Amino acid sequence: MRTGELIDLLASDPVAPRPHLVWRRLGWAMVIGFLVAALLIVSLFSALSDRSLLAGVTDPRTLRKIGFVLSVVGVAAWAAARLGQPGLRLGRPGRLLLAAPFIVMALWGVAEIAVADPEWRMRLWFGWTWAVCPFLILGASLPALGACLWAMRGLAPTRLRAAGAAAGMLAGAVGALAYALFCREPGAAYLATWYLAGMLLPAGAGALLGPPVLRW
Amino acid sequence: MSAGRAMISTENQLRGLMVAALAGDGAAYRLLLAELSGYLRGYFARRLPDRSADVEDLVQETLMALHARRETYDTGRPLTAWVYAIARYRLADRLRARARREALNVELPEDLFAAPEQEAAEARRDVMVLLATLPEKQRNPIMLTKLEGLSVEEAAARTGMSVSAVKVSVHRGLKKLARLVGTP
Repeated sequence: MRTGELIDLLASDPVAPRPHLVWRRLGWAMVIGFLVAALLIVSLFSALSDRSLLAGVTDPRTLRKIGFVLSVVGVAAWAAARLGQPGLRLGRPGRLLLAAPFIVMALWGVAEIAVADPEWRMRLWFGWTWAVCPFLILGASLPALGACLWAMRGLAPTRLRAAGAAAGMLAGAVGALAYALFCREPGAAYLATWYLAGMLLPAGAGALLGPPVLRW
Repeated sequence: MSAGRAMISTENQLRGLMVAALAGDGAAYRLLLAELSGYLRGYFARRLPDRSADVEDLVQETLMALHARRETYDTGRPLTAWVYAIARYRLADRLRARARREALNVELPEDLFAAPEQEAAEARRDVMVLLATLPEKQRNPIMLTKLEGLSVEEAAARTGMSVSAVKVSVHRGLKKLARLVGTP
């Protein structure tokens, strides 16, 4: 086909584009990812404990945990939206923004540990569930990972590994949000360490899946 | 008009067309695609000087990609940057696919049979380069005894050094070379 004919064809395509494609696709991925993650977490916790699931959700430390994870969801969504568009990159300010919630929580954690009783200090960092937390978050975020990669495929990423990693990080944050509703670990240092690990795992998976899955 | 201002006026003109196109103006969209195809053709032709068939393919592929992903263009950002990123992405993809295909091709016989000659010539050149780093007092004895096959006595006579001086120079020179080459 000659290029002129191709142009005529494309220009006569009657479908008018709908606005806000990026946020629509990522939004759906986050909502569906969160609902499935919450379903998985609820099934797991109700099978394992008799405690009422939402007991203590208004505890200030739980609210802090949820606020922290929500802020990660926010910056990860921003990063994913940016990397889903051709040519854009995060840059140093972008990477700093991504790290900010973790830096804040790490500093808060150091302060908490410094003023705590000595026998409480290890608990504030390792808690009781440090060994399973990252993997539970990973498990909860796998459906969200699928959804976020699907969303990214419909955009136009030109940096596939970074876009995959951002999709994975967003999925990890969404999974962590579901996990945070039921997690009862108190320490800020715990969040900065084990929640970070739990979100880096799907981010790493996204980075590996990016080049093959996101190619367009 | 300076290059910078020409660039800005191009950007403004094309973005105006794109905004109109996204609002539903088919004629503006046709004009935009026609303008872009000209720029794309020039860009790809410069990057693929020996493959003119690929150039037109790439132009069409890129136009289709721009069309398919036009919803990812943020009207608050430069259109030229958006188009450039997509064009570069398609070019990289094409080059990668071509490299993969060529890696599977059988090499020509010349590739195999030219090698030993080249290797010997390259090896000799490397030795000369290394020897040139030595002071003359060490280089000459080494060249005479090792490269030209003279005995230590003959080399001593040739250079006017004593036999033991020749042996010492050769020994030191070889040690220095060994260090340069990286053998511990």
